[in-house]
Amino acid sequence: MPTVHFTIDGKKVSCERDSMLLDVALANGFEIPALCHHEAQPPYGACRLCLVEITQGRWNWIEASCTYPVRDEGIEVRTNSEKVQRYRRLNMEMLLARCPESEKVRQMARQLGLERTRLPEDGDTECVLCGLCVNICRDVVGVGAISFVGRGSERRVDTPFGEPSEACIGCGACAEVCPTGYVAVVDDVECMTREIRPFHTEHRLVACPECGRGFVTERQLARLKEQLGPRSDVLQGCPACRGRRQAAELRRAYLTMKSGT
Amino acid sequence: MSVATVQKISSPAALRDLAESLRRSVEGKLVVDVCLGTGCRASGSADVYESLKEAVQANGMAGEVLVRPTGCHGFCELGPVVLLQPSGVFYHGVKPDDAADVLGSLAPGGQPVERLLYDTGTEKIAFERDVPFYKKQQRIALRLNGRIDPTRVEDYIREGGYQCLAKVLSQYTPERVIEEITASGLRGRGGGGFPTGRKWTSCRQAHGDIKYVICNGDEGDPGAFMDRSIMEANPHAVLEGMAIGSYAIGAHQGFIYVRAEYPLAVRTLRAAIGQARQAGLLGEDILGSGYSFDIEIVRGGGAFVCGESTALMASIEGHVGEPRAKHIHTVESGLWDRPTTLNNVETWANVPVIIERGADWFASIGSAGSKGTKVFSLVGKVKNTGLVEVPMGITLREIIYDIGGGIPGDKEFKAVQTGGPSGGCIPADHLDLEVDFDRLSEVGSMMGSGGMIVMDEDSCMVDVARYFLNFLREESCGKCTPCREGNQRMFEILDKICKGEAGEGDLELLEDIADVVKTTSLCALGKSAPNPVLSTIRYFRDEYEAHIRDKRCPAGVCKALVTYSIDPEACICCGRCATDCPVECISGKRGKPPAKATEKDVAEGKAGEPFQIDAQVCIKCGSCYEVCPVGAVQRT
Repeated sequence: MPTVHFTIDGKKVSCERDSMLLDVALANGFEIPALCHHEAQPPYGACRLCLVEITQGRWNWIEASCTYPVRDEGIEVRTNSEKVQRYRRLNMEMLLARCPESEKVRQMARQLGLERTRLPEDGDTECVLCGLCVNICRDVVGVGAISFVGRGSERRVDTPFGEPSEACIGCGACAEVCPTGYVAVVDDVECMTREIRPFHTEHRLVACPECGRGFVTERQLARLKEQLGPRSDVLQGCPACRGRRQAAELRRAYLTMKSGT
Repeated sequence: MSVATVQKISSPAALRDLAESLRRSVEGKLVVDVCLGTGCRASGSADVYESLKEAVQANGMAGEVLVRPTGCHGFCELGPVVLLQPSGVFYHGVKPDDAADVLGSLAPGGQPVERLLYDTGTEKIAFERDVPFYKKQQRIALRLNGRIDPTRVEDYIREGGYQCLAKVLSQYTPERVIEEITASGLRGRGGGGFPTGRKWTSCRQAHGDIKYVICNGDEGDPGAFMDRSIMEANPHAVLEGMAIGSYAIGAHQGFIYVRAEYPLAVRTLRAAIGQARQAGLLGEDILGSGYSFDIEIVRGGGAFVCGESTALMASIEGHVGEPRAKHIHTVESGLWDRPTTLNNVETWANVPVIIERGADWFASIGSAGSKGTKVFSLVGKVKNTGLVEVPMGITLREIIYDIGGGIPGDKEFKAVQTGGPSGGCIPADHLDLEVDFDRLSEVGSMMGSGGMIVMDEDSCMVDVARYFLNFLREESCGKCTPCREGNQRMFEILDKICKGEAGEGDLELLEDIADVVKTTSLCALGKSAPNPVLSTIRYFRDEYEAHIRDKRCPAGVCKALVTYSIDPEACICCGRCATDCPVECISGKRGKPPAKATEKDVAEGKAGEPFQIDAQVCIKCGSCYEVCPVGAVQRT
């Protein structure tokens, strides 16, 4: 891939052609807010907060940096111009009205210098519809238990028909990537169950043979065994006990080696 | 649907011979073209067609008269429409009972049936070419609409169909085809107006051995039916255009994406593809050239956003119809990440004609930046609604007044909304605007796919903006923040304005949101969605201010801001208002108006009492206002 040279806020940077501008900017230490960006996933372009101002010759425009592949030499990128701030704040005003209860959204709004929105704060969700949960479940986990449902302002993330998912394996990747905490994994250690909220999907946990703690759901374990095949014996026990066991084995081997010589 | 009777055609020469023999077979025949397009069907044209056929049989005229079912003629307002060929006599509002008279007028020396002729108000017009609605039109994409039976490939072949494909396959290199299209100046008819030749060039140059062509027939604009009419009336023009384009870019597979709400178009296209395959005009080794190309139909589920090219491709792939950022163009990486050329129905239908008549001819029509013609669906407050195809550069005034016949009821023209729901409203000051891609966007609207909605003095522009935003907020896919949240919020603010609940700062907030939606949305749906808001604020700001400051709707449309009352002095006590009132909130006594009643009338109980409206119960439907013969009902 050929290298492209350009500037961000006046600083000279370079990258491989077709690198996404947001990735390049973040790697070079620039701060750009984003809600739908995750290093493990391809860019999606939903939140429109990672806006930057690009100047190329006589052209000047506002662009979402996450989906903008850098192709042209000499473009000038500004990450914090007045224009950029104006449009970020306007989108943030709308997100704030949508998710008034979300601490994450409030905090990001404050960072943009926004204490309140002019719109009625009538939203009752913490979901910003960033798509990270949907995309990781489908593309990384390979399950597709949740999806977007509805169009326009009716859009939401849900399981098919809003019923407990039969496809969900309870891995919790959706909760892991959720930027606002709207999607959450709730384990009940007493009952050995796991709930994926807010999708009403319940799972049975498998107890670690050594410590007895529920550490993985039955379905996830089954799926991992299927994927790992003969190597699935590495899944014996919870990560903590596995770690302890391996450390002990390592220690024994070391001592044997030492006494043997 | 008839079954193809055409044998496989193995060479360009065989195609020419077939066309010639088909021409000879109808020579000297009298043809009755009956429109069986969706519009005329709705007015009962299928029965007209049957009764004409029966009448021909009954009169033993089958040898010399051919009753032909055709697609849309465009003048939907007056359907069912019938056209006599070769004379060109034009009938409208034809009923099954008219069959005998219509046939009578075909006979040698027969006079046109007076009552079925077009009436300008001062004279009756016999021939289609003289009817004002058709007179200023120039038909390229619609050239065979109403002139052929769309269910028979032979009809298209007889009119010279597929000759251009034959010419291209046997004489042109792909580069030569692209040169021709580029030189013609053809721009995409689907909305963006991107130069077609440039699109094809990029796709031809893109890396990859598998490439696709797509026809976008997902016409989603409310009130628009240009593409439907072409697909229903002349499907082979689309297939031929696609085959030519596909040869030019080096593809072998095409898709036509049609919304499922267009069942007739789907049926017609399906039959057309089947017949074209049988005739060797699609499939392997087309016309013995060694080139292969086939087409598949994909039906869309009716989401407006699926008219956007990347959402459309996602939908064909089986995903949710959501757009993606297009910095890497679909001509490089489109359907299944392969180089893909997507054009709209009307664009494809223009291609064969450009090949047939040459780029110079096409480029000689139209304006400096926009060549050729454009089909518009002219609807709303205009006398002649229907499909019109006009050269680019024609003025709005010519379209609305000369072709459209002006505004019904001698009302004042107020604005015309072009380009579909996310187009802008253009006021009377710009009636002399030359209609082309660039002029329309200069005044804050767009060409879009060619919707044209005329509005008169009775339209409230705030209400109009609210109407379109209501459509757009529901049809936004919801993927990106500005389009999803912004369209919803703009709708809410417009709704507040219409209800008289808006205050200081709301107009500014509305403009801010419109700006961020336009500037930062992911796809063209969002980027254009604020147009109805921005253009109405630009040209009709006073109406917004009247709603917000004076709590008044100047057009008297916004119910919350109007009240109806009856002037007791003017009331003639006829009681028609009370009869029409759906909620029975008008009371009074029918009889002689008090001013005219004599004492005797009073004594005999013949005197009336002026009617009154109970404002508590009134739902402000306006029926009383419209029905009052003396204008005693007042709207304030």
